[in-house]
Amino acid sequence: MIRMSNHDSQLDEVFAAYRAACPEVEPGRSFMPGLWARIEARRRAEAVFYRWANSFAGAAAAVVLLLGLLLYQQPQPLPQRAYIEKLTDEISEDHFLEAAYLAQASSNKGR
Amino acid sequence: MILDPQLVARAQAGDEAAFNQLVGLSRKRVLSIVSRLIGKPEDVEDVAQDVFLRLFYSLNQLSNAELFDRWLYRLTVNAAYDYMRKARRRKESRMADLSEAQMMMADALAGERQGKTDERQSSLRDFVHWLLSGVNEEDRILLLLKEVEGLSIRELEEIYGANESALKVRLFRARQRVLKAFEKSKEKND
Repeated sequence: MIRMSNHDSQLDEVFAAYRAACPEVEPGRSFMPGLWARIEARRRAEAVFYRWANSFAGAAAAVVLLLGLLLYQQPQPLPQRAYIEKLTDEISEDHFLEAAYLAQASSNKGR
Repeated sequence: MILDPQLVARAQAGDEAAFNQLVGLSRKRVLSIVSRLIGKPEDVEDVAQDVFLRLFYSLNQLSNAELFDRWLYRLTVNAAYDYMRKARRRKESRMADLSEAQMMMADALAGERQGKTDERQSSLRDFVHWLLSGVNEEDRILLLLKEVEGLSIRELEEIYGANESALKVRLFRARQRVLKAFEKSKEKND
């Protein structure tokens, strides 16, 4: 069992004296009006925030629609042209190799 | 204190008159707890208003109206904690000086001798807050709830939602730190 030191019990006394030294605070007349003023102030701040957030969301949606419309009305030239050209080249190259292979194969067969 | 669960339910449903009634029934108690937790009579009303402001905006989160009392205690503890954190930032370690604590204790004793009750009480409050300044705000509140408010470990468990052994360890450590500060101030004073 832990023995309480002298200081331990003195500390308990200090805490007890502290409790007595904390005055009972009576709510002032302005307590309820002050509380409601704070509630209303927060309500107003929230309302302003939601209004701002709603208008921001609306504006963002309008910008997105506008951009979409602009892109739709001005079709860009196909950016894949280079790719298509390259693909055509590769196909013709494959075709050439295939033809060369077939020619070599038929000559080997002839021998 | 047990409040009518129907009154709580009405306030939860947005009935402002019921909310006013709830505040009226519990504000004296909240003011007393806040007064003992923060020890600054001039700020008590402001912190208590903060408690009820939090209550107004969180009442719909309360699942069971019968838990209102515990809920209000938790909000009070949170508001006191925020106040203490802000107060610490305002006057970082102003109370860290031991000689100042000695002066407070001497003032408290002198006030007692001369019958200056207000001065003595104010010095005593400052002295206790100096003793507690070596402990973090969370543990400070925990210790005050136990030692000054006289709450049992079971009640603390309900408020904090923590288990008994964790609370006991925190309380023991906090008390040991406060005791050390107290012993130091006594040695210097003797």
